[in-house]
Amino acid sequence: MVNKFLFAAYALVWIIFMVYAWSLSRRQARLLKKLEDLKAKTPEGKH
Amino acid sequence: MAKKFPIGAHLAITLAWIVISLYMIFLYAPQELTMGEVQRIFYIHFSLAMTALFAYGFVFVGSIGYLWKRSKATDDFAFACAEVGFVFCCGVLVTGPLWAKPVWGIWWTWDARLTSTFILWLLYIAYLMLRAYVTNPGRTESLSAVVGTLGFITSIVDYMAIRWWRTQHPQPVIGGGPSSGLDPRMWATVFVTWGAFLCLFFYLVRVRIGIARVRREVSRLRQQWA
Repeated sequence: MVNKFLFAAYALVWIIFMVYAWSLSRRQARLLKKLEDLKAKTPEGKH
Repeated sequence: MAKKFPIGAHLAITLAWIVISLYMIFLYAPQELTMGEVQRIFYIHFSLAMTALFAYGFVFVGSIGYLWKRSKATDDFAFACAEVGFVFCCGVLVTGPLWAKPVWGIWWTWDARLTSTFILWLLYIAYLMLRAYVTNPGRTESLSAVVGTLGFITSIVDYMAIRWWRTQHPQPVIGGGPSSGLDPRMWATVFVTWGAFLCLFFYLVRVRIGIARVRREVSRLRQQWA
C-alpha cells in the first residue's frame, strides 16, 4: 500500500502545478482575446 | 539572431522527462532502509527546493540586467522567474512538512533552514505584490529589482543554513562531508528529477514571458486607441 504522506506530497505538488498552468492559460487566452479586439478596432488592424 | 527552440517541443520534452523521473523515483531508486517508502518524497522536495533557490539567482540576473540596461526583456525574465519560483517554493513548503511528520514526528519547526525557506517564500510574495500594486512605470521595475536582490541574498543564506547552523533539517547530501552521500541509483534519480523540474521551470517561464509581451502589446494598442 502506498504511504499516505508520499501520496499526498506527489498529489499536492501536481495539483499546484496544474492550478498554475490553468491560471497561465486563462490569462493568455483573455489577453489574446483583448489583443484581437483591439487590433480589429485600430486602423492598422482593419486592413 | 539565434532561432528559438519551439515551445511545443519544449513541453513534449518536459513531459517525457517527468515521466522518466517518476519511473526512476518509484521503480528504479532503491528503498531507503530507515525511512522506507516516505523517503521518496526527497526526490521531489530536493528538486523543487533547488529550482526555487536557482529561480532567485535568475531573478537577480534579470534584475541587474534591468538596472543596467533598462531593458524590458530582462525585466520580463526576472518577473517570470519570480512568479514561477514562487510556485516551486509553495511545492517545497508542502512537501517538506509531509516528509517531516512521519520522520521527525512534527510538521514544522523554526530551525534555520525552515525559517529561511519561509522568509524566501514571503519575499516571493512581496515581489509579486509589488508588481501587482505599484503601477508607476520604471519605479515598479526598480523596486522589484531591489526585492529580487534581497531574495537572492536570502536564497544563499537558505542554501548555507544547514552548513552554518545546527538544524533539525538533514545535513547536505551534496558536499556535506564524509558521512554524506547516496546510493548511485539514488544520485541518478536525484539528477534526472532535478533536470525534469528545471525543464518544467523554463517552460513555465517562457509561457509567462509570452503573456507579459502580449500584455504590453495590449497596453500599447490601448494607448494608441485612447
